[in-house]
Amino acid sequence: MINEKPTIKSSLKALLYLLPMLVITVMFNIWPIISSFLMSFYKDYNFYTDEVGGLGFDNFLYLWNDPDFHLAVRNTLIFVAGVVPTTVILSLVIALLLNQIKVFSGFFRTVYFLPFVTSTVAIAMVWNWIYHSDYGLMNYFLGFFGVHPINWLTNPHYSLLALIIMSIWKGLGFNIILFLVGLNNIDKGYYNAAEIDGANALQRFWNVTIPLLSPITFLVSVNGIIGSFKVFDQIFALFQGTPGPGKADLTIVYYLYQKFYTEYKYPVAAASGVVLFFLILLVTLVQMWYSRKHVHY
Amino acid sequence: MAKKLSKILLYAIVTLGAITMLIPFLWMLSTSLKTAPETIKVPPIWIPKSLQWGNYIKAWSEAPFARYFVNSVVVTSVTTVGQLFTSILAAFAFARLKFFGKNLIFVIFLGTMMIPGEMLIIPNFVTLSKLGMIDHYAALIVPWLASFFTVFTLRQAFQSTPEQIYYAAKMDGATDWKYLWTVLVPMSKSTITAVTVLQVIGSWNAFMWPLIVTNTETMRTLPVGLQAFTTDAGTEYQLLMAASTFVIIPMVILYMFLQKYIIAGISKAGLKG
Amino acid sequence: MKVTFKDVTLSYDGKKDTLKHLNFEIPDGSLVSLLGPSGGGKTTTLNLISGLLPATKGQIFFGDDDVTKKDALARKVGMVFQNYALYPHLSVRDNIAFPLKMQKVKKAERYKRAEELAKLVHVDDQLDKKPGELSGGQQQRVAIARALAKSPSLLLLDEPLSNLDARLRIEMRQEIRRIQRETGVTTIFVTHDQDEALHISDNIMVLAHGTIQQFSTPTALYEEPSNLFVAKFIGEPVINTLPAEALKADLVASVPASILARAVTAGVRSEAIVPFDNGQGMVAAIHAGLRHAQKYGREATAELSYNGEVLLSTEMADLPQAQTEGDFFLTKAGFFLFDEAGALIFGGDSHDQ
Repeated sequence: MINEKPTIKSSLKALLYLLPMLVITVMFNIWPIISSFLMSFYKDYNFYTDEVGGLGFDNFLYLWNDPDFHLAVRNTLIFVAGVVPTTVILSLVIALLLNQIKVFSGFFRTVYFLPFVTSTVAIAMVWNWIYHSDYGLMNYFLGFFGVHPINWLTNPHYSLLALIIMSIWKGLGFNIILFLVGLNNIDKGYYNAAEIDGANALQRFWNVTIPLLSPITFLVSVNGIIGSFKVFDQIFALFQGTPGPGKADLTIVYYLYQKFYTEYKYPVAAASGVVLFFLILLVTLVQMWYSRKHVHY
Repeated sequence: MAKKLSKILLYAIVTLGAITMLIPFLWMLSTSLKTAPETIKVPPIWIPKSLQWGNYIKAWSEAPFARYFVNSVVVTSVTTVGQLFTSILAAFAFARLKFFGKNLIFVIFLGTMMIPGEMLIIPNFVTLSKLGMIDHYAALIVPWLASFFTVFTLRQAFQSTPEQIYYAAKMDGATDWKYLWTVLVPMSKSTITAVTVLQVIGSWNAFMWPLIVTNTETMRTLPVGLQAFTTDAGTEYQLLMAASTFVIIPMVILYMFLQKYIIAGISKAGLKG
Repeated sequence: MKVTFKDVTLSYDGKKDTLKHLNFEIPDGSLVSLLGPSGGGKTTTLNLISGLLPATKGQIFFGDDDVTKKDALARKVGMVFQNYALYPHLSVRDNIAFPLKMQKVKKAERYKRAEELAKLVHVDDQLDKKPGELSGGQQQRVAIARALAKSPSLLLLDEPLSNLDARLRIEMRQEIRRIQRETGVTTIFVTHDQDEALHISDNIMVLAHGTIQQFSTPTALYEEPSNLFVAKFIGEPVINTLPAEALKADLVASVPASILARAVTAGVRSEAIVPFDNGQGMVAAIHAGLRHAQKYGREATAELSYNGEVLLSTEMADLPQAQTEGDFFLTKAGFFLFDEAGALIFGGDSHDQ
């Protein structure tokens, strides 16, 4: 048992244990990855007969020339830029505050985390109602500050903002938890040492907490970016099966969905998936490069 | 004095934030118990004159929510149990067994975790239509019967148990299979609970995939059914909010009971990156 | 069960041999300890006996059975791991009964046996607790009971006392001895603590550098170390060693010239340096400087300076504090000479060969 080398027999045994997982993942994860890449190069694909007219870059050319896709990429980037930094900063601040309190801290954690466990579709319905231009809570609330009623869901200038606000609200809890874990993992000894060295509370925050929290901050940001690149459910539910007024909330995944599910342009949809993959790959590579260089562990 | 003041300020901010987080839920509950005219009162009222519990019954019966509910329960439970089973077996192999190509296979799977799931939708749809599974439970369940993420998390947990216990069990006469189910799984209970709960939540709330692979009303899961319901209910927000409530409630209850595990699961899963 | 190793070699990586050509026989019913510095091969040897680790070369016999190719289960050994390896989710009762459960022994019967064993190891009042609620010593007892549950051919213990505090260690080593006597099971345990080994074993195997340095009774180990390594490893305080050259002039009378010519290192136990000739056989009389050093309880140590070497003696307590030099004697018992390779060539019983 100790120092055992794999043998044919032990490998066959392991294979039996791996088999159920392998069958499913090969069929529904590995093969689709290959298939997606292949399909993105198909010309004139016929789904019913599985006939392929040839291979080429036509689908990518199509995306290159499709103003809708440009819009989708643009909206996705705006969405990411709108959601991620705000979420990171807000969740860090709330985590720091929650970390300071003792009474009711469990209760507050529960409350902040609640949106994470709720169905995106169901809660998007609620936000749809909150954003109602005449009877919604949002405009009523803004009315106290003298803001005129806004057509959150029907005005293309505001609908992306509406989506962003809701997404921040939904994503906060998850990130707060991660930050709290990160704060918990900081050795109290550092604070004591810093205090002995004469650092005041603010200095301790900037010189101990922030640097030691940087891996988590980084992780939260990257997770946030990747997750936001894939936004779909919220849009579909908030705008009731449309990509927002005047396609103002058309994102890459929504574009993929449309090409695939309503227009049956499978190869184009696959190509947009490949673009999404490369965007995410880019973020991951930046993450690897950056964490190797800058994150303080 | 300054310390006390800052404490008060601290609680004030945290409470204000908590209220902001809660408002959508409260608004949902409040609206779900209003009469139709009450929903469009300006300024809005929070507590209806009389609580309209009937809205729940009406919403429940206006669309086949019972059927959606059953579908969701079936899909969630079968997916979760199945995925747990395949993952436990695979995680055990990766954690304890010796086999050729172990590292290679592991790295390949780790790599696939980087692929956005949305990319897989098209080929999977094609595969399932060829197998004639579209619009059946199979389409909702089978692709999710394995998750490398779960395998990865469980492998970590299994590896963190002392290897000596494995040897001890083998010497006590336990086979690998027996060891796995009578020793390793009970020892890793908390991680297993955590991944289970996360999987239940994910499965229950899944939307895009069920939306794509179901056509008939009777196959819809709750989120898809709820989405469809908006077209029928139109502007009857009290009914919409009632329906949203019973989609959300099961997970909220689950969360209340298993909060500890969910948070542990997130910390484990999230911090791995 | 008698255990025999025939020319057993083990290599973890196929290149470097961790254990080289081990040959030994452990008599049935004895308590044997494997003693040595860390990295010397004790735990590896134990794992080879247990069957957890397959031998690279050679044969292992239990009684007359060749078990070389058999795994741990087939060898039916009971093992107590260093960290006890108790099942944390099972009660003490279920832990002890686990091997029987795997043998599909009926519940009532296996619980009955578990209770008997719990009585034997004195944890019968803890049966319903989980291992996490027990002290280290109690966990140790449970682990022993579990190992005994399957009526093992051998009981193997890997550093059984290392996780216990000093007082408990002494208690537990007596317990292991008692349990071994009561059950009569051949017991082999690994330790790096000579005190432990010397106190309870019938035989001690000293392992270092992947080979057996000596395998004998505790007394023989101390009184007749087969080489310099064992002489230095066994005994507290550590044996005095000095170049044989420094002593040669004083040894001519008592040591044959042929032996003296080969002697490279001399070893003198601290109790072998005495102030008076007590008539029990002396190998040499030496003139040396004396410095009284320390007194701990009933023990006193003194440093002697002799030909530029410093020797430690524990027998100088009765000399006046003021004395700074004198004539001292080296007793035959506790005096050894080793050759260039470190092998014993004089001392113990071998001096009259």
